[in-house]
Amino acid sequence: MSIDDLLYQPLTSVADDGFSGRVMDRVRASARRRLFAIVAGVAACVVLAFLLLPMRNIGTQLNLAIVQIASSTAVSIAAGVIILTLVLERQFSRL
Amino acid sequence: MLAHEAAAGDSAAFGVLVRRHQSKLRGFLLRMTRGNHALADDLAQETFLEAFRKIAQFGEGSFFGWLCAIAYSRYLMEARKRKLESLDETDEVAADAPEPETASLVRLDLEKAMARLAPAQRAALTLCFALGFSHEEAAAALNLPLGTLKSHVNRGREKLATMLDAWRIKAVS
Repeated sequence: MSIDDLLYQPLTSVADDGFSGRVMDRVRASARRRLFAIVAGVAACVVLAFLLLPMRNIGTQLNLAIVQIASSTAVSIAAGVIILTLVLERQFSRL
Repeated sequence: MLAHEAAAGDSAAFGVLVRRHQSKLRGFLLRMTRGNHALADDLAQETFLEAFRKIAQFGEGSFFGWLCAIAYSRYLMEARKRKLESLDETDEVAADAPEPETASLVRLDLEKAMARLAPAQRAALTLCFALGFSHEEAAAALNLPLGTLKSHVNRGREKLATMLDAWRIKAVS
């Protein structure tokens, strides 16, 4: 047998014997840890925001802004156009 | 395709990739660690975990080639950390090489001779011959320039031939 024939021999096959299962257990645990870290990070940011930002003032300002937007003629026209477009688009698609 | 599904968060797709490639990857690492099953399996597990974490970085090409690149870099880190062997040349033979009862004598000779090569030569020969990589693919997997890879293949092959010939002559006499 030549050296090349020897080298071209495939590697010895290794039986799974639960290896893939163990890898996937670790993969899932790693994904859970990553998700937990993201959720914990977001929660910490929200708590900090509540503690540091003047939430009462923001709430009042937000209410005022919503009332102003709702009573604006331009916004009402835009909303009307969007609704009309959606309704017409459905009607045409049925034809 | 499966790699892209896994990158989109489908862990079942990644499970299929693990089952599909585990045997070849463990075989490659088994040769790199000179027959150390426990270390080869540890490295293979770490390789798959790293692949899962970095799967979004996998673009086009062979997923197994990408796995081998991660595995080889992990192997080098572990070899440096544990001082497993000189990364240049070595004269040691694996302590737990396959038993003659379970492996053919010819394969045993090959594994013994492989164990005496430098890791880069062992990896280059294994990828280019046993695993069927092109020189370009093997160079990418081992993060080597193409010329260096070819030189490792040629030198490793020559050394293997010399060693095996010497053993054959010794066995006959």
